[in-house]
Amino acid sequence: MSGDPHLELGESLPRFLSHWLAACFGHFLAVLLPLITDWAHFHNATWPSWWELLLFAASTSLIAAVINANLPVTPREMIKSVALGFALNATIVMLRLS
Amino acid sequence: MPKSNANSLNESRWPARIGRLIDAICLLALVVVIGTVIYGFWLRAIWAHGYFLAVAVAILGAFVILVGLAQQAIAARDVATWRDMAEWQIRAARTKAAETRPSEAGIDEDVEPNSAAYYEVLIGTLVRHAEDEEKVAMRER
Repeated sequence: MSGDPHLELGESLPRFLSHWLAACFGHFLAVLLPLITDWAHFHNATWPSWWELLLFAASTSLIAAVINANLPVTPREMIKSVALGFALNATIVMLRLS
Repeated sequence: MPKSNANSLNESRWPARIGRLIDAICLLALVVVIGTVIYGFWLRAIWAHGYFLAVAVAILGAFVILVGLAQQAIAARDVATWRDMAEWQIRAARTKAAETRPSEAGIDEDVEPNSAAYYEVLIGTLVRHAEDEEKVAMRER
């Protein structure tokens, strides 16, 4: 093995944390996109407090981070984590669990 | 470059240039996502003041992600530099060997890089070179 990050698979804490953060960003994207696309009608909506939103994103993104913890920290793999975070949030919204 | 082992993770059917292009596009997408999230939190912060803390946390997270990406790129570059150094040393050893034993010098010229034999020859050359160095050091003492 040459040490190229693309060639190595294996779980490590930095990878876990990076993918966790990326999944959190995906989660936030799902939460915030309606606000950006239609924000004039959304400013009266009731929102969870910021730390509730943060804890919710962090907990659901743990699943994405556990799944993706063996991927290298490259933009190409981070996008997958973002997509997984987005998808987890969409799943929770569609199942009306939150 | 012809590849020998089809099962290796080393294999990539796409040229490296397309890989780099996809990496660049993904980085752009990642930056757009992060920017959108920070902008969304900012919009929210206009209405609910506690959300300024969320903006700060998002900016911090983006910073950590970018530092992580940069660190990974630097680590990959360092590894490449180490490999270059090893190959440079091997070339020097070969030149040395060619000077001392001109009859054996041409043996491994046609060994294909990336094949297992190449690394065997490479390690053999390194070991021989290290032994020669040790002998020289002993003699100097």
